[in-house]
Amino acid sequence: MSFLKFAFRGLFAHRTRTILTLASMTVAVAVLFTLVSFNRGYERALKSQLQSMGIHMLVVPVGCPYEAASLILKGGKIPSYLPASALDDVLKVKEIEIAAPSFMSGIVRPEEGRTDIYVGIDSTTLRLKNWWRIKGRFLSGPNDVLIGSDVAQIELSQVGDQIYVPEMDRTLDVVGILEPTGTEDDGMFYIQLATAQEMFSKPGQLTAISIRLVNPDDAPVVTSRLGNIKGAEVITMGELLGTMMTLMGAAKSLLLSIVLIIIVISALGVLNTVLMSVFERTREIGVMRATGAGRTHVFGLVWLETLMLSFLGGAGGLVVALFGARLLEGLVKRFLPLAPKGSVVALEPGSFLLVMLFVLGIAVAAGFYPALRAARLRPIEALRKE
Amino acid sequence: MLLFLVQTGSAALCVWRAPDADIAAVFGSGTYKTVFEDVNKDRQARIEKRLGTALDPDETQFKFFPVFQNKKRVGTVMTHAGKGQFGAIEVVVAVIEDDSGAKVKAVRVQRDREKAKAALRSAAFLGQFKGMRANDEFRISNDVGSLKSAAKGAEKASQAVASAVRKLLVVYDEYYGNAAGSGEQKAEK
Repeated sequence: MSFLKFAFRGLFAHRTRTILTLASMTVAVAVLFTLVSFNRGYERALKSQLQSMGIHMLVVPVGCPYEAASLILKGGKIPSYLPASALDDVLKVKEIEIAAPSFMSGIVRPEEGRTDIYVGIDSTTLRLKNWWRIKGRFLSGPNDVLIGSDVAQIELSQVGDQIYVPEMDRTLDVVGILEPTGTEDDGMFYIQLATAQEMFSKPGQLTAISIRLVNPDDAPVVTSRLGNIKGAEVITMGELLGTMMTLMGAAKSLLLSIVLIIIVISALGVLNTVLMSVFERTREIGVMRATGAGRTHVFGLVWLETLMLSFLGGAGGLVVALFGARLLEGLVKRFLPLAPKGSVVALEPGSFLLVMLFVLGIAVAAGFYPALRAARLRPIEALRKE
Repeated sequence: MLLFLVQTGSAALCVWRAPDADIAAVFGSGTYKTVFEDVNKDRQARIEKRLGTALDPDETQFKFFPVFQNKKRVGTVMTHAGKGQFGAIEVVVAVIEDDSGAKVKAVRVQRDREKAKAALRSAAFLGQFKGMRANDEFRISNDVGSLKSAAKGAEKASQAVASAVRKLLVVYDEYYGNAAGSGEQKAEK
């Protein structure tokens, strides 16, 4: 206990210097813990959102589906579509429980700074998205439109209202409004498949077929069977998740590199603080050695100071991260591509332990040299030092 | 579910989408700033009494955009989203003050989905509001003897525009105009 007190006194002999070192350590650990928690939370939230969609795979036209999505958002035409016959081929596969065809296209509304996304669907989508709660009813006529809750809010629409699409000179009847789903569905205009194909002059063509399997374990078998459909490719939800995580990977690597640099700088700060403390206490260490303290005691004392400094900084960083992570999450989600709904920060004990172990590992390394230097001091020379 | 019902069809607040273009068109030039004013119960009651209708649920705060030329305030812009026949209509109203109080300098429609878009945005329709004050008659109709003519083919939308202009004039009057002195302290201009 007295050993701890001794270390504590030595550490806080120069309070300002120690507090500044602690602050830098706190910031570094807070950023690292938040980043680790964000990484885990993002992957989990994305996986959960993809699973909650109830879709196991998508059949899309050959080409980059992300480029197609980007083109649709900009109101552009995608280079290729699926023929209606692709749906017949899909339905021949017995392992498939539901196959929902869709046609998606966008109309840019520069005045409003957004794109209206129209999705042509049929009743199979209702079976696929069985979590949908609709105020009103589902689509039954060629001019029916089912709108997401965000659209209803933007257009101040209620069931029974009409929405005019000036670009197509078409009037749609709002027959239903989706209760908020927390997904991109909230911002869509759903119309009948044939209506969408007609509105965008693509009769008989599809942009995707969403598939739910009877048994999700059959995904590899079904993927290989669907591989024969001409002009189509199959994307499983696992692949989609992998691609999204890869897209995030570059940004994550950059952030992690920055955090590691911050931690190295903090570790150098710790090393500097403890080393300065050793230099300033050379005479004191000499007295300790002269009165019977061994090299191991001195080494242990200095090392303990480093560990304490890092532990306090680490603990402070974790507390800051616990309180600050939610605030940060709100900011980050605004700029994050492909951000899933819900929390993307998972503050877990596992991450907590991982970060603490990492910090203590850094402390052990940073404290080694000052501790060794202190232990090697010869008592006679140390006592002579002014 | 309750939240859903509240959200739907009740969003009177909207952004000012093209401030630079609107200022250039209405005032020639100028800069602007944004002022938020909270709606307390007294003010809400007075505004609702004058309008004869309740404020929308999201109108717990009003936004004013005072416009300046050479640091001198030359007018104020306000915005409002109302329900037209085929979707939301966002209206921008610029008011100026003279010895009798606030009056409309210009009205613009910044967003709509109306079939008669051109008529609704025409100078013939929107120009009718120029010079109107909060206590004027805002009835819109194509009937003989009505005070203002609706934009042809956009009758419901025309009424939505008229209601928005009236509401914004009343709100301005309650915060900065003649009515602001009664009841509580006038908002700082």
